[in-house]
Amino acid sequence: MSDSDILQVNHVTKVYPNGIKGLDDISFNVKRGEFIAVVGLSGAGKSTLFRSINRMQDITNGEIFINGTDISKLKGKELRHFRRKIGMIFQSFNLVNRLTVQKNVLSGRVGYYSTWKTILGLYSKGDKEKAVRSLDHVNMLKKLYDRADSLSGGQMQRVAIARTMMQEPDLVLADEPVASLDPKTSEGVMKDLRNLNVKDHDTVLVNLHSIDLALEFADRIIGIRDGQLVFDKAAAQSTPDDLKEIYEGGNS
Amino acid sequence: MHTSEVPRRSFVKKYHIKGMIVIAILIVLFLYSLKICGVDPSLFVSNIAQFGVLIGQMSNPDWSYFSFIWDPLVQTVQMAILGTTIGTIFAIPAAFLAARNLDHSKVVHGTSRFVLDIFRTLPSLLLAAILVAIFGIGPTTGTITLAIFSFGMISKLFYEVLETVDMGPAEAMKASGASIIQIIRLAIIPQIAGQFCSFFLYTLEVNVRSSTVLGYVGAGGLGLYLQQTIDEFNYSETAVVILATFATVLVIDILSNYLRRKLQ
Repeated sequence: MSDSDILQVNHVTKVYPNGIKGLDDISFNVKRGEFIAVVGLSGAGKSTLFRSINRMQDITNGEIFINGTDISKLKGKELRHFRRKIGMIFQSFNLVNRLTVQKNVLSGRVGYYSTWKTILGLYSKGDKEKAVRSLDHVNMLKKLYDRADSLSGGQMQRVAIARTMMQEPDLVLADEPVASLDPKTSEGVMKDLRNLNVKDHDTVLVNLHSIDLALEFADRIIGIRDGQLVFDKAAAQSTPDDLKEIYEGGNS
Repeated sequence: MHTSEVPRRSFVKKYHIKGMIVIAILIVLFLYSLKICGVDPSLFVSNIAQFGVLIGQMSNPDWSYFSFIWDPLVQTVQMAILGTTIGTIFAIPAAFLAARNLDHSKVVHGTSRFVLDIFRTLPSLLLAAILVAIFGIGPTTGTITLAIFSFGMISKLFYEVLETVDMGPAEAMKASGASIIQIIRLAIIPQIAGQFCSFFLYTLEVNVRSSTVLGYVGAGGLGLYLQQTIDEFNYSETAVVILATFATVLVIDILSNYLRRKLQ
């Protein structure tokens, strides 16, 4: 693998205990700083792929390297330290509703803190300033002291992006970040993700259902169908018809 | 014009046959139980006059007796607060072990639940009677009784709350490299703290009520005075004990309801 590759996925297969194949011999490499859209039907294996990359679940066969490290060998503290460098954005935002925006954003930093400091709820001045900057980045600073459950869906996702920025991630995995948002809000959230990529030079992988958004924002598009990689091209060279094929192919 | 066919229900469903049968069985069981236990409803009617006599005597409370029961009354409330607190301290870790949605094996929560079920089957009065034999007469026994009773009740209420939490934030924390303790502190506790406090107060309420009768078996508190005055047929004093108990429970209820509303 070359030095510019941040992620290398080699012949990865995931078989669930009930026998269903989530991923079927998938291989691809990701260069540092790429913005990649992963498209495919629900259940095609997109989420499984993401959850394998940050070891939220184990794969059955194959290897995943991040920054040259074989992640399947990590455990305990090493695994937690590895996860600090990988941000994850969820469709359901996963904020703690009863806490303020500030506390939610700061919690993104918790992997860098000792357990006892967390129990006392102590954060450094530097991290509090960092939280302010992260929120400013996504235009949510005015909500700093609001409770998370008072926000709209799009605002919640922005806060979740600010929380991820606190990790200073090398790689961001956004698992259907706009699937529960309206088109206009989706556009805004996608721009924030794109900013992560352009301003912070993070590598971003995003699961999408919208062909238009994939073509508009991504550098490169990867298509997955039935756990297999069926498409992998630069976005500039992809056409809407190509992407329709990812969804509809295999039915003939 | 085409009309869609209305779905048909079977005869059994249409006339709620199953429900009717269950109700019939329940009525038969009720009547049969009355017969076996020798419950005579007419006794209730014929002895109602006796009730009037008792009320008559009680309606002249001997307020001077109040000075005797002030200390045991305070002791009763203290026993309840101590017992509930001690029970809660042990119940919190037990609830985390028994909750099904947290990351641990079936064996752990299965065993925990079984143990907690056993604790809950013991009625507090029975528990007190046994503990009096072990620790002797006095408020210590009452406090231990209430602690054990609270432990059983609170751990169940708490693990049920735990099972309703949104695990999404916990997943987000895990994905950002948090340890299990950090996840509990930042993603779980903020979601449950309000309800935990509310259930704590509710258990306190229940305990203040039940601690007034624990004295009956010698476990300290006001119950002893209730027993003594009844045994001596001093119903004017019994009335004071009952009214004091009633007032205390009322105050605790109002206070705890107020605090619980504030927590919502």
